[in-house]
Amino acid sequence: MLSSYLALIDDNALRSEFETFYFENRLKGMRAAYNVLNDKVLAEDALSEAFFKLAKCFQKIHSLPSHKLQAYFVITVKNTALNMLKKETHIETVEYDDELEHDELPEVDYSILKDCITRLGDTDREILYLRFELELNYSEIAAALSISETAARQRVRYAKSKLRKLLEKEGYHG
Amino acid sequence: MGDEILKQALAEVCGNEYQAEPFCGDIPDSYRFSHRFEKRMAKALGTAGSITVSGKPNIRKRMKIALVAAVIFSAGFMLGMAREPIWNFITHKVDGGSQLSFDTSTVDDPETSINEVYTLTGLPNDYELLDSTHSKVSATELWVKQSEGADHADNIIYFGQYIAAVYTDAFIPDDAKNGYYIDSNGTQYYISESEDYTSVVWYNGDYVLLLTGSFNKDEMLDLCKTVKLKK
Repeated sequence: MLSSYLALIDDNALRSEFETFYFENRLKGMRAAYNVLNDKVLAEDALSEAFFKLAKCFQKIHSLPSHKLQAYFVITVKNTALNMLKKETHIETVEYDDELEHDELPEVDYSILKDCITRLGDTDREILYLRFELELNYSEIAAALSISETAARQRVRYAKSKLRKLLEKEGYHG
Repeated sequence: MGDEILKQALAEVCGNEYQAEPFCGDIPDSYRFSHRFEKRMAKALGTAGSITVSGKPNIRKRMKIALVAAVIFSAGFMLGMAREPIWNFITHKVDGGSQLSFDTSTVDDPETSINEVYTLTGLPNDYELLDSTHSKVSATELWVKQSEGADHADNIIYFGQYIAAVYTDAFIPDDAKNGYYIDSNGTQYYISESEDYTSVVWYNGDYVLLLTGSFNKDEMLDLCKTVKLKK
């Protein structure tokens, strides 16, 4: 059962900021959740769960520029919705290949890099975005994706390795 | 390749994906969240019947007591009504009273944030503004009678302005006398009278407005008419 979100936030000014963020972004979050779940009741459940997760780490991430905070929130909503969908449909998750340890990226043409990023799976692209563009630490990434910090580290490494493989296929080697 | 280049590439590729409004025809701008969701979120945010008062806990407690009479339950008791309500509440019976939430489906296009702030202009000169708050979803004023200070509940006037979606779960006890009334201008007021306070709630076409204080019903209704946009 969701307890008061604001009890998770110590500072009164931050509470007000969270409340404002909620009203400004709840419709956007609802659309992101509904796009995954196609069910309004489930989408509202996912949305409230996502706000709860946001409240838990709001003190750490509230200082992100607003567009980045929105991006973080949307990713959190989508992943919360996906987790609900997996529970509903018993989707099997892909096991990670622990042999993918090399994560250094070669020097590449910038447009090729962007193209390869586009070709990554949604999950891989998301985690790289959280880590390198939003510059979140692993505990903050774990909170957004409802995974452990260890899993977050592994996923970042894995996603970077997959990007490296795509770049190697384009003829770039480190 | 350094992380900065990767960061820049990710920003360019992904920025629009997560920051742009996701298209969803089934969730239009006018989408109304379910009452279940609104209630859950209002409770989680602590906005149900909320009041922010700086400093003095005795005033907060007294105003909370005043606010339990701040909303109207109209079933079975109408004052001067000759037609259907213009707007209404969603009511839930609880121990000792009822919880009322403004039913946003009974009004068209309510404001979703506080874009302009209203203020009370008709109080006697010996009342001073003790505290005021302003957020995206509410704006409040706490007025007290200057000569006798802020410790006496009967000298307090509270004025609140809320977006309709936030005005939820206000508690009204069973022993309060409640009713609603439409004036000659077509404005519908809900009035709750208890032993210590009279509260009036109305909707001005954009926001839910609340006035609570120790004046009688007629004085409170006159005071409602002095609410104006703050310059």
